[in-house]
Amino acid sequence: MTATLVIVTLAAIVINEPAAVESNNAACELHIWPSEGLMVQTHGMWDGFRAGITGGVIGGANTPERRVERSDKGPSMIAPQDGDPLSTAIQAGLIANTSIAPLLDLPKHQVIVHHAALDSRTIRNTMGKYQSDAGSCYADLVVDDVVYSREWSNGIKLKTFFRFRNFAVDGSVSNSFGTWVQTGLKLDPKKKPEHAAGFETELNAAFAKNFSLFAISLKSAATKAKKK
Amino acid sequence: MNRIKITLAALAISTAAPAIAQDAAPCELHIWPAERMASITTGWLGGGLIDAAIHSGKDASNKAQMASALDSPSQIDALQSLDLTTLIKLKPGTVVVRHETPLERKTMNKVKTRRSDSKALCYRELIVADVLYQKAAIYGRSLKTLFMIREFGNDQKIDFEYKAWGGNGLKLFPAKEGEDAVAALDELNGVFKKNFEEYANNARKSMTAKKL
Repeated sequence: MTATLVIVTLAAIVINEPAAVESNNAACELHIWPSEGLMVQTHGMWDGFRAGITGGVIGGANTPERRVERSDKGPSMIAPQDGDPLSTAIQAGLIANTSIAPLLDLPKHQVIVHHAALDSRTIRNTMGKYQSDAGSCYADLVVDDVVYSREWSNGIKLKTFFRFRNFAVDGSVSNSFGTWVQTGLKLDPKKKPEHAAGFETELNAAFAKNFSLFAISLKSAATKAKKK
Repeated sequence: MNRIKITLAALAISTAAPAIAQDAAPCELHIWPAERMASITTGWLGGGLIDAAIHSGKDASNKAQMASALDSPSQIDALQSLDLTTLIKLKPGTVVVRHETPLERKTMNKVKTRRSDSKALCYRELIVADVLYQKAAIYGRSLKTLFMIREFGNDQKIDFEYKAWGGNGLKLFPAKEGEDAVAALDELNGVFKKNFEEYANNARKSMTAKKL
């Protein structure tokens, strides 16, 4: 009876944790962090262009360094603004509604979605667990960057960069993998105002799809590693 | 002047002396990161419009990855991890002031006065102007960085300025979509530092020539 009460109490703590989403096995945890919001970049026709019809002789004299140096262009990436689509809060909500643990072959892990993004220094420099007080059965997935990318001759893409780490019981990293994946977007409200209505829905679906693409890449990398 | 952080390492030296004379006030080095990333991939067509169209998606992905690996804090952290005192001949005890928000690129050459409000008598600026990834069919892959140092006297006049590119080859970057990219992004950070060391070697020669 006592044991039952303890289990019930623990379960309640987990469920009351604001970010807890799935609760399959309290012993293992998958912590997921959203990114700082949606970055926006535009890659225009002249961005990869040197000079001359095919670069050629004039292009040789007009080196990329000189051309970049002379350019008056602004930042290559626009930082997220409050109220933007795919804000940190929206990402956290979408992550909570996507069944991510089974995608990553961690079906028994309890998913804990954090509401604030990790800063880049923490992501880069933390060798151990981001959630230092987590139990010994622990994995983490960080959405490092989400980029809305408008690319000349290539359409509009939603790119997501993920970093995944699984830890062994002794606290060492047993598997680490990070990559970027992308999903094409069809709606372009900037050029066609009538696309505005479905824009966020498409964007959110692409964000969710990128998790699946990442999971495929993770499995593929694991398979390649086993063959070696 | 947004989000400025003063490094305490050098500050400790200055606070150790209780009565600092006006002319012994610590020197300041203000650092700004770059806001622009460029990626130019040229194939056997030599970099023309067709080439640019073919590589547009790749270049856009490269830029996104560069912006991730070399965001503002990463650029400044990378520079601060180096021995700046030796590399660019800083006076001992120089206080490093971090500016996490990049300068507007188009103002970089036009503004000839101090880019911060500091009134320090001994004042230098280190500005990262541009970061460029380049892949050429013959020469391979490289990361190039444009740096600028400006030194001011006790006024708004530039006494010394040195602007130049540093560039080094890449072996891992860019990772393809779906392939492990962490090592490739770490490589960008390492080559960024090598670029600064290369730039600093040339800057020191220029300083020596100007008897700084």
